[in-house]
Amino acid sequence: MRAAAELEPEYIIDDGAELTMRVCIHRPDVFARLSGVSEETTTGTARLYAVQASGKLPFPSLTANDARCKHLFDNRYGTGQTTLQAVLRLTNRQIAGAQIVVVGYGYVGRGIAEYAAAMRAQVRVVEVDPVRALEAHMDGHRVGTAANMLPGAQFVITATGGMRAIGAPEFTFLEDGVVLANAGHHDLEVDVASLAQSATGRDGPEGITTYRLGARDIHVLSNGALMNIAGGSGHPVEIMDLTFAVQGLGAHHLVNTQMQPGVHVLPRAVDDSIAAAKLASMGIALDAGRQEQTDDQADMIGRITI
Amino acid sequence: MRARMEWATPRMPVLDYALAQLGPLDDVDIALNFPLDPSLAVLATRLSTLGARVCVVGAELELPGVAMCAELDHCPPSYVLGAIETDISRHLGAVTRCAKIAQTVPVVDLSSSALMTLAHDHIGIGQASVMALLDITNLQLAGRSVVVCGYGASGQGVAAHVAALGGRVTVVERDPILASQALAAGCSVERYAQCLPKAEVVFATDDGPQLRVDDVAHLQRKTLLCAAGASAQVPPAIIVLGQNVRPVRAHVSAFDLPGAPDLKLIAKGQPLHLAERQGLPTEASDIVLVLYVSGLGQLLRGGVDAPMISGIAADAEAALAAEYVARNAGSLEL
Repeated sequence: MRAAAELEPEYIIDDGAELTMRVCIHRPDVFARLSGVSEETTTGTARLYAVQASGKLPFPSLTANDARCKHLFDNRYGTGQTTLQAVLRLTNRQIAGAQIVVVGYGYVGRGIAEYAAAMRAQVRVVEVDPVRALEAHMDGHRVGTAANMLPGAQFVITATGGMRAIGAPEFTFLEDGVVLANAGHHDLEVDVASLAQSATGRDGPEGITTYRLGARDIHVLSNGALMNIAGGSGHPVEIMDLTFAVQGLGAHHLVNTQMQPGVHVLPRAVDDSIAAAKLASMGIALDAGRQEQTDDQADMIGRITI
Repeated sequence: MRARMEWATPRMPVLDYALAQLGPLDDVDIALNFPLDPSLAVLATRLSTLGARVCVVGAELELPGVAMCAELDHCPPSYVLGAIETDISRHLGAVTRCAKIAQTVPVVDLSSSALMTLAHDHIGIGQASVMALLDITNLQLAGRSVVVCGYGASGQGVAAHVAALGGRVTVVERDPILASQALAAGCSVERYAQCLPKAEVVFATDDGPQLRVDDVAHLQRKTLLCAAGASAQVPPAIIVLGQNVRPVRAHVSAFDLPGAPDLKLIAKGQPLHLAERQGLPTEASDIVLVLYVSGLGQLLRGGVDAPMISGIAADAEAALAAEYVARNAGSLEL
């Protein structure tokens, strides 16, 4: 990362804003001269917004993550599928009938929950945002506090994009034999360091570390690192086709458009063009909307006199 | 394998129950004629611990107290347990292939066990095959057109897991009852000539109308061909015979047919769940193996008077299912 910063890039296509933050710390001169950043993840987007809020973002940055062609597919279907794939591959466990807690119900959490439920797992959701929690409830999942949802869970998968989603306070609710896995950007969502302070870890089969906490075995997959990368082979290529299209056209937009410093979302027309190209590549054609199908109340509103 | 055995052992609680019912096995010779996976290795070791002389066929692994041999003929079994077959004639066929074993040995046929169908086919083969395909190819099933050949037990398991992951399933069936079930499960039901030209993935299974040479002519380019089930004698492996096969990546090879270039053969057309010797999910294996243990008990109790062919006793199967329910936090109404 430091070597990359030394290259003094003008533009950065980033994941987790990792390189951008390193450039900021190690080469503030390069940071100040950056022409733009295109950022991939929820976590990185949150970081860029935090920098902007502090008034220290001197360049335009595009949050690829907030493009619909990214988060609707990469986060939900890509991470959703491949996280479960990696969990099942490492543990060789049966998903039908399993009690799975998903921590965080953003697009990644939704994808994991959706696929797990479709494969007949019983899914519970822990979420702090009331709207997302209500959505999880109406999607058919049990929703509640960690204290209520974690007991009896066989798998706990974190997908908050934050840190310490499962930490010391939550460890008390975990049952013997539970498997912990992380699907978020951080390798800190499962607080493995805290677990290691209280218990000695021993390695099991590939990718599984077991911590003996009192009378309970807590199994951590891939040391809490991003599950589908560390314990699997990453996203399906069809998903990366979309994500890299967003990043590539985002970079093109950054280079060719006069933009104010701050966090921006990819223009809708560019987003739409990516989806249209994907559909066309699969031979799928769409109808064009006709004028008479558009709501006509706008005209009426125009005639209202108050 | 040893680390995987240790991982699997505590996750097979029903096996503990079934072995406790079995009692000591002193001087009993048992040959296990399955592909060796961690769950089977656990069973072999546990049977040996109970006093049996255990021989695993076709495996190369050192397990304490367990012999390994290349051929079933080299093992000294007194009894032969049924294999997982949907058809008892195939089942006897496996037995008769072994010259050392008389055709007249008693056989417990597990193929009609509802619990076996659920654990082995619906859950086990379904999950293991579909997830293995994703692991091997690094592709999505979401939005893909997937043909499942046959809607028997393994076809149903595959179809359910493909649909769960967003695939659009078309089932090919001759049996109108099974075809009706497929329609009710949200699958399309079509003939090969209709569905193969748009198929992106074709799953052969143990049952149903198998792909024939005439059908293969309808395949489109780049279609993935794979097999789910217990049998290695499935069409993808047969279709590719004599073709010029090119390696693509681990467990993926390519070959061309007239009008259908660059077809992808997954795991050499062998059952997907065996590609990386992972076998079935542990909990599914738990149920499968306890049915074998229960069948073993049935044979031992019957001795030389055991019937030539019998299914698993209904009360024994119900007891195993009750144990499974209890172990999974379920409660049966009194």
